[in-house]
Amino acid sequence: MSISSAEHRGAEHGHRQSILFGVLIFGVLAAFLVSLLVGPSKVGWTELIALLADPDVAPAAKQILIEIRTPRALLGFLVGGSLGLAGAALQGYLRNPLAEPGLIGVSASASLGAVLTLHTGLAGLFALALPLGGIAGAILAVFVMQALAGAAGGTLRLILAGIALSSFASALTSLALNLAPDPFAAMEMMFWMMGSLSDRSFEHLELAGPFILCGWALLSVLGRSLDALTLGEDTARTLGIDLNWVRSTLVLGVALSIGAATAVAGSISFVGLVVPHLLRRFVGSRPSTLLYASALGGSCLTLIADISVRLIAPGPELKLGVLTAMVGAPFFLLLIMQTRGDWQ
Amino acid sequence: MTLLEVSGLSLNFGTVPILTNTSVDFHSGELLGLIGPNGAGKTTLLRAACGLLRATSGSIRFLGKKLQETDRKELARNLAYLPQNGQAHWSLSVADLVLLGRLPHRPFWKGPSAEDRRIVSDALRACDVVHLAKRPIDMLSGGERSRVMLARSLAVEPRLLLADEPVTGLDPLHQLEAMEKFRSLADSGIGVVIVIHDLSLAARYCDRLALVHDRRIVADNEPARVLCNEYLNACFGVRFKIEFDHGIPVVLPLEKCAGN
Amino acid sequence: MLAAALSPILAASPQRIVSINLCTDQLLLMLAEPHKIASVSYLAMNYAVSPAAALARRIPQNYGQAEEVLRFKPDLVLASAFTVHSTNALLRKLGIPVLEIPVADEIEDIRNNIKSVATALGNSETGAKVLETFDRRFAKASISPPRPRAVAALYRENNILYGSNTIAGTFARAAGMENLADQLGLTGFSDLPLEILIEQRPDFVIAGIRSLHAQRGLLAYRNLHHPALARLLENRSLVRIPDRLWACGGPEIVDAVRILAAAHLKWRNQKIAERDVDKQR
Repeated sequence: MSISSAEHRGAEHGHRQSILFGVLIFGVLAAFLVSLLVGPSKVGWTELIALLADPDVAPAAKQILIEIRTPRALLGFLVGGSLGLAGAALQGYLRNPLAEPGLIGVSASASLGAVLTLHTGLAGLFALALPLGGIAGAILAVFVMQALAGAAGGTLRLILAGIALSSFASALTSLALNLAPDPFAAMEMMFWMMGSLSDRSFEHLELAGPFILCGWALLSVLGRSLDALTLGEDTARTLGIDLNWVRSTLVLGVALSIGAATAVAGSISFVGLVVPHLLRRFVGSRPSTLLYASALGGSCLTLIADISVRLIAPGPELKLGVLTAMVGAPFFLLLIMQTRGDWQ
Repeated sequence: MTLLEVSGLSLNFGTVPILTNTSVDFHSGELLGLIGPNGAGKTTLLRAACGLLRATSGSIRFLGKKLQETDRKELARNLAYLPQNGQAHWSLSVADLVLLGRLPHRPFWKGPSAEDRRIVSDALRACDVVHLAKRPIDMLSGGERSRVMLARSLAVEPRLLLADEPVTGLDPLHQLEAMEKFRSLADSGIGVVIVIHDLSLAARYCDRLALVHDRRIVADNEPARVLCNEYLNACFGVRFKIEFDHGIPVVLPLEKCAGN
Repeated sequence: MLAAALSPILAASPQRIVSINLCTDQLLLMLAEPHKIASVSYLAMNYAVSPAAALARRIPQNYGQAEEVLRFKPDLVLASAFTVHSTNALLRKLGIPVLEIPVADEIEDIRNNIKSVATALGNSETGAKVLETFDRRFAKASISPPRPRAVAALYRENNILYGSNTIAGTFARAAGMENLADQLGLTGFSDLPLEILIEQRPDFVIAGIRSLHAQRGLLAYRNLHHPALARLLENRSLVRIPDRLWACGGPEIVDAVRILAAAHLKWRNQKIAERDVDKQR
């Protein structure tokens, strides 16, 4: 009897999960499509259909759909997926629901790395320097974060260390931009601190895409290790998990995906916090399943947010990072109130 | 047969010695109780035996092979560790948590097989938690939780089970049930090592007791020979009343020894 | 001469003048005798943005802070109406006369600014001479061709589109071009998404020079480095106007008018030739 019930449970489990992933995949596809159809110009459905029917349709519509909106939507997918995936991976590894690339300073450090390559002229010498700079900044941040507030560090340490690291990286970014002989330095600073996807091109996609995908590949094999870590480090190790391998894979995976994403989009906070939290209950809290669900959820949410910034404000487009912070920060406060009891 | 062999083990945390020149064997089909005062080094011994700590000197062999040279996965399939107050950081369902015990048995790209699910079912039933299978782990009582953790370690189907204070904090009924569980596991051929503070329970269920004191094992023998005031006074600083019930010692702490 | 030297107006003319804004720097360097200029802003020496950079060498710099201005013991401070207001107010409170010069968007603004600074310096004659030259050169450079007229987008980093009522709008108009901002009902400086620019397909895109050399990764320049813009420009014209001609409204805009007028005429000739070819078919 118990055997059949366990099997039944397994099937039911799988069923619920299929529904969740079905919904998420549909959400990503739908958001991607809408992302192609929405923008300041009137180009929309009719133009898209006309373009699919005849590729030599009006050049303006073609350029807008293919060269402006498509790379933007693809980047939204990649950047959002990275944020969700890295958020879920960091939370699983640190066993802390408040860990998130933006909050723990990884995004700010990646911005710093990218800005430094710009102002030392490295990015001018070879284009790959930009994402590599972002990745280097992110690696450094994850390392510092682990040293300051590793898995045993507790929530308070994690958040305080994150604030310190973020502020420091932002200050250095400001310094770098202040020293640069650029009259738009102040605006540039805002771009890097409040990410956005507007007017990104296939060049950005080519620069960041391969690194992001490598990061995804690394993070996605962490699933079972993160599951095992649910039982604590000791038990995870006796289950055959090599924690050193987990740590280096995590650091590299987060750095590659978030570093490269930030180098082309600027830092976008809270997506990595909100998405895993919302999805956790639907995957029975399993860190491995949460990983994949959060990647899709992050893509979906980021695409939706990026569509919203185009629709909300008339005139200058709202920064994507502003929107995610406006939605995410209150959410973060709520989460702090909920976890208040566990602080050490 | 000897599953795990600790010989001449010394272990320091930094410069502080925790174990010095400790030797003990863990056998299959045997329930071994590690007893001794707090801070004597029992947990350290257990963790070192799992390969969680690096020895300063001496060796630990699993099935005749040095622990450092044993394949990590191989070890994980044969040895289960049940830490004290085992924690679950996320609110997994009981079934999912127990399923974690099957991790070492499948490659990372594979999901759980029907075989895995059957073994989990058996483990749940063996620990009497089948009815809790769907419940989130953080909604359980302390007793239910420790039974689930035990089920998790049984799902590994280990040849050696190392449990750190598995009955501490349980009510008498659950203590007895847990000890009977360990007993039957040992009878089924598994090597079981538990850290235990209840000396009478230890005497009743264990085949052998190893008394850890002052960073080494001072007595390693059948319970009736270890549980005498000669050893216990020196180790615990307490005078015990020791009676025999059908030849099994029942140990009751009476008073602190003079000088303590 | 002697009578003039004794005149009370000239006696009251300021002798140690400080300018704390790039645009007032230009006016001061243009209209004052060099020995009366105590200090100009640090940007005045920067060739990229300062038309009178050559004149600013060897003149002490300032960063527009009240305290450093005081060190020069000025008897007149020139500031833009755009300059940080607290600085201007503080200097006035300390008894230093501050002349605030409004931003010049139209030709009349340029002329008024020259006149008012010249008067304040007691150099009305120099002012009149500068004005006369400017008027003459501007009239010569300006064109007003009949249709077809090119539509120009004055489009710079950060997606900024310059409207007709800006200095760039003024020089484009003087070159006979229609301003895309007018067609879109935009005035002043507006944010124009790249999409709209692509959709509108103006005949000319007029950008700055710095955008050429800017680091490709800098996000402010992403609109100008976007492949979609490059594609648009495959059969459109991109005209680059040096940044110093956009910075302040002054006589230097004649140079911008010349560049644009030449490009515009070339475009017209081509257009007309194409039309003739079409007609012949």
